[in-house]
This record gives sequence, structure tokens and C-alpha cells, in this order.
Amino acid sequence: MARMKFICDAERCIECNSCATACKNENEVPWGVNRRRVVTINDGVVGQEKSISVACMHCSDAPCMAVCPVDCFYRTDEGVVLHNKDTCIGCGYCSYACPFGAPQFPSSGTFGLRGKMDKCTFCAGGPEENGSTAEFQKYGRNRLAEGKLPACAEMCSTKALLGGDGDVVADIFRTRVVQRGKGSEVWGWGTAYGKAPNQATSPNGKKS
Amino acid sequence: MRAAILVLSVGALLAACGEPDQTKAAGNTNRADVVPWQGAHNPHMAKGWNPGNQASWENQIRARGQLQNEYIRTGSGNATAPGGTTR
Repeated sequence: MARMKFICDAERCIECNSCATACKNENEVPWGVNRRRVVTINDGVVGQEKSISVACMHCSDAPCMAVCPVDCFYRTDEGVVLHNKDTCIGCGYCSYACPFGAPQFPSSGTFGLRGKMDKCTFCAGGPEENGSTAEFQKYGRNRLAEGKLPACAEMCSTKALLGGDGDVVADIFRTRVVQRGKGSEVWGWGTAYGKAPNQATSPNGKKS
Repeated sequence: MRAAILVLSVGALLAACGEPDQTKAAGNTNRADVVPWQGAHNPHMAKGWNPGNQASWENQIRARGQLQNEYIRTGSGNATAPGGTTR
């Protein structure tokens, strides 16, 4: 069983925003909603600038699913977290719960009216019939049902953003890390929560 | 006759004990969504796989995923990982 995952290689991302553009175009995302965006840290600092493309990470234990009061989320057998816009009430709880800022809300009316939640679908559409017009209008393209991968990953110019079956994506990333001798330290507990200063950080001890 | 009535009575009583699962949880809502390997039935379908065949779809997704691997796309000799398997 394929388990869909994204990973973004911070060593390769050049902040070109083609992933965000491809997503907007492919899914005809409403004005004001960005299902995917590029986050840059140390912007402008020579040698320390790092960018990463962020969207819904389709968590295995998704907090958005846990907090939704109307239970509009569901997870497919491929591990993609989707939601039903017919059930969504636009309360915004998922937005507060998500650590990645994935849930977005279009301002589609007067007085700042908040519409139904919109987020990355891993280009897997929604509950409507696969590839139907109704599905496209609500959720965008269903590329998975077309035998394709998400447009953002397939369009990435440097292949920093990888998407697809978790095993394949992990293999590609692992091969890269081994070839260039660094990069494995950008993920994991140490990066998120800190580590001892003298701790080895990569296979050959170099920091990225 | 009494035995039949007794059996029917017991059956009716036990039927009242049964209760369909009414839990509304993320695990069992919206499951009407059709699996992606059934295909999209539109003109944008990628070629090389058979809609309705899960194994075919998974192979297609894995093959498509490997198009992101430049070590394979460029035909580089670096496509072989330390473990000896081709990535």
C-alpha cells in the first residue's frame, strides 16, 4: 500500500515559488488562499539562508482531524488527509491546531466573511466523483486518480520538493544525502529541540 | 407450541439488545470517497496503467515518483545506493 508523503530538501530549495504557482494554477485556488508557500529563514544572510516549501503534511495523527467539531476530515487509505467542504462550517479550529498553517480560508464575501476551509489535497480531490467537475470546483484536480503526483512536486525545478509514495521519496532523499555527504541532520529531534554542541551532526561530521 | 413461543420471545428480546454503531468519528465518516486507483474518467489520465487495478496504480505512482530522482533521470552511475540497490 502506497503511503503518500511530501519532503522538502532545504539544501536545494531556491525560493522560486514555482511549487506555489503550480498549485494555484493546477487547482484554480481561490484568491487569497495559498495551499502551498515557501518559508525562508535567515533571509538575506549570506550563507545562512534556507528555504522550505510548506503545505499540509498529511499527518498520520492529524490535529486538524482531532479538533474539527463537525468531523469533516477523513484520511484515505493512501494516507492523504482530506476534508468534506459540504460538512465544513468554516469555524477555523483546524487552522489553530495545524502546526504548518495549512488550513486556509477564502474571504469570499462582505464584512470579512470566512468561507469553507481550503487546504492542500495532495492533488487527490475530495469526496465527489474522481475527476468530476464538482470535485474540481470544490477541491481542485485529482491527479492521483489520473495516475500522477502532486503538481507542486512534479513542477519543482530543483527537485527540492519531493512527493509521492513515502518509500520512494525517502529512498531518493537518502541517496542524495549519501552522495553529497550532508543533509541528514536537517530533520529529526536534534534539529527541532536542540542537541549537544559537540554531537556529530552528519555522516561525516560536517554541518550543512 | 410453548417451546416455539419461548424461542420467538427470546429472539425478540435479544434483538432489542443489538445496536448498530452510531459513532461518528474521523475513521468512518466520508468514506464514500472512491479510491484513486479507480481512475479519474477524464481526458487527463496518464498512460501506462489500468484504472481499477490497485497494483497497476501503485506501480505507476512509484514509477512516476522515480522521475524525481535525477540520479536515474540522468543515467548517472550514482544511481546505486551503498546497499547495492538501484534507487
